[in-house]
Amino acid sequence: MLLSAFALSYLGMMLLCLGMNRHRSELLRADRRVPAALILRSLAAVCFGIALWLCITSQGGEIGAVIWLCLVMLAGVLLALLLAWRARWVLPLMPLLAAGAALSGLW
Amino acid sequence: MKLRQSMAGLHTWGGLLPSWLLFVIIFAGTVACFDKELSRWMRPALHDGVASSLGADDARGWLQQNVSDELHAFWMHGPTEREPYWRLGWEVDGTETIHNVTFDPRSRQATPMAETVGGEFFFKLHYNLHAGDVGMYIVGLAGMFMLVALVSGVIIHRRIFKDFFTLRPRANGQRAWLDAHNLFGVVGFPFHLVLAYTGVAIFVASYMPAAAQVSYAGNVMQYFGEVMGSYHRDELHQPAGKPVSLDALIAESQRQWGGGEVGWVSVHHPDDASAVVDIRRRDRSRIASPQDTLTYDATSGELLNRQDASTGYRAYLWLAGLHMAQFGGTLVRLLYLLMGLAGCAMLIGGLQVWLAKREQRGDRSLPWVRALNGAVFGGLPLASLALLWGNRLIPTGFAERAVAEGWVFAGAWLLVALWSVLRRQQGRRLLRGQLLLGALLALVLPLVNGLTTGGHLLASLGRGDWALASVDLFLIAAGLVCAACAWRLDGAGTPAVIRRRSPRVQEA
Amino acid sequence: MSRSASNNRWGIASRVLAALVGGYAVAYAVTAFLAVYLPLVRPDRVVFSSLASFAVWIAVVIYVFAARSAGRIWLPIIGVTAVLCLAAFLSGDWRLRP
Repeated sequence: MLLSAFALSYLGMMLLCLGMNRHRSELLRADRRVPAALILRSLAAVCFGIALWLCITSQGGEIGAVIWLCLVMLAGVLLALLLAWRARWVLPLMPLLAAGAALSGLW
Repeated sequence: MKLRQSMAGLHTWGGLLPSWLLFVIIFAGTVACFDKELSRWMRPALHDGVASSLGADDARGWLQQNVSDELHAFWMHGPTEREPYWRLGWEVDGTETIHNVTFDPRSRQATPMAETVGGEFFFKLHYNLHAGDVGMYIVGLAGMFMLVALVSGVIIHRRIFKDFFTLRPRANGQRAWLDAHNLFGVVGFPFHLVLAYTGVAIFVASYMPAAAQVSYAGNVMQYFGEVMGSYHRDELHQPAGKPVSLDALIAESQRQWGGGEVGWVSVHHPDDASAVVDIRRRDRSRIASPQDTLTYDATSGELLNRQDASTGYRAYLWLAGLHMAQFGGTLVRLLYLLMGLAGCAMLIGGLQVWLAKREQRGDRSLPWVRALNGAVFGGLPLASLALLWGNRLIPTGFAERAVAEGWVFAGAWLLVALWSVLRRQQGRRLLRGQLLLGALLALVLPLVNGLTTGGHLLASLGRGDWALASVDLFLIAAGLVCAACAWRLDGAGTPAVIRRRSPRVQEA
Repeated sequence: MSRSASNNRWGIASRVLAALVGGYAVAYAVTAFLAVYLPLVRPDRVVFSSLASFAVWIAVVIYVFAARSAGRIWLPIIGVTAVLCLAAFLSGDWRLRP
């Protein structure tokens, strides 16, 4: 649960980031086009929502909400730190987290 | 003066002045997330992981045999997962001092373990700076300054969303540090705001006595009794009869609750005929602690009261619980630890912005600010490491062991402070020296742990005792991080990272 | 130039005093007022009015530093404190209702 929720939070943060002109060029090649910022933000909201749902179903309402909020904040910090020092790791980290989440789910 | 200007001034000075104090509070609170794990590590008797076979009556028996004074109250707590031993505390009638003892789980009879300040040292440092009520008020004031800094920070931050992920470490000093300060401040804002507010809310009755003064005509004890829904009966000034078995009352309480764990067991005026036994329930599955306390007559065992807490008290406990993070297991405390470190980073970043701004002007007070930075940001972590070293090296038979540990902490902090003052003109060298010392202390400590106790890393990992192993692992990780940072700050004074970057910029 | 600088110093001192002492006074008064007039049972009135006090103090601090003139901040602070405290204490025995 934990890794899946974190992966989704990270994905949401990444989508928000891609929707910003300033960071898009740091993450993608210049010729790549992305959907409109509104779509990216809506997708991000969906990701956060699913992550919240995962946390609540796993740990109960109040504790799940607290965990979710902390995961979202930490995902934001991680993304910003990567963006500053290892921008090339930002996108590949996503499938890595997703794989980790899937593996931990199977375990 | 425009709003942003005035708020910027308020934020800068209102944030700067308490920042060193706030660092102590936040750092101590962050460490205190794992205070019970630290307590276990600091008590070698607990390293084998043996379960205690004692009961509540054993603890009381020890108290009756070893303490002859008349008691105001005593309280005890059975073994839990994080604190696998019986704990006992008491207050002698007339004094306001509290005594504590913990019982060795390996022994079949109640045998106290060697004294130590335990992880609770950091918890206490966090909420009252080990300075009693005065400290509590100082911490409260610092919390209010932090809240004002948070609110004013939001008002002045122009592009909260546009700058959300912005971090430019290669930009000039002030810009880079401001980015860092904003990042940790904005992304962590919910955490900082909630913890600052809930933190001051915990002591609200002390900080804002107005309401009880007005509504209860100053009768605060009546207020506490009503809001908590607890039971109180006055002393009869007659000697107490033979007390009923505490273990029996514990079993009865569990039956009353239909299952459920027992938390604190306290006995009030145990030597008086009016003695009552309070048995609290323990439940970590919710944020607010359960309010299901059962009160029994200490002699007859008759159930006198079942707690009926008011809505207000439950709301208060929810806020307090949100702060104390005793819910949700290790995960929540780990998340709080990471966010606490983010708070420390926000604080240090803010101070660096202030410094960078004035470095160009060559302010004469700057070396003293740097000395203070070194004394606090370097001193507190180093003193904490020294405390753990002291815990390992002070002999078990030493009478005032806990006091000695405290002096090791204070002494180490004073030495680092002195070092920072003497080296205030060579900021980078001082920082590098502190990082190296930190790395040394942190990396060698697990070895010392292994040499002095049986609970060293390989043993605890072998037993799957992750709680105990995590302390050693964290020390190793912290030591490696310190060493890596020290290496990047090479002795010549310029951070190696900037020197390596410049060739790449020229290529571009 | 020096006169405006020393004015400024007095202005800042005035604001700091107003923020610390005046802010606490207003928070105290609001708490006392709410502790009497909130439509709740007595223990709940005390809890919720007290918990609100922190927000009041913060608001006053922001107001004190945002206000254009350092001199004019005191009247509202003293005024609000006086009115709310009066309203709280003049309620008589009604404030002791369970």
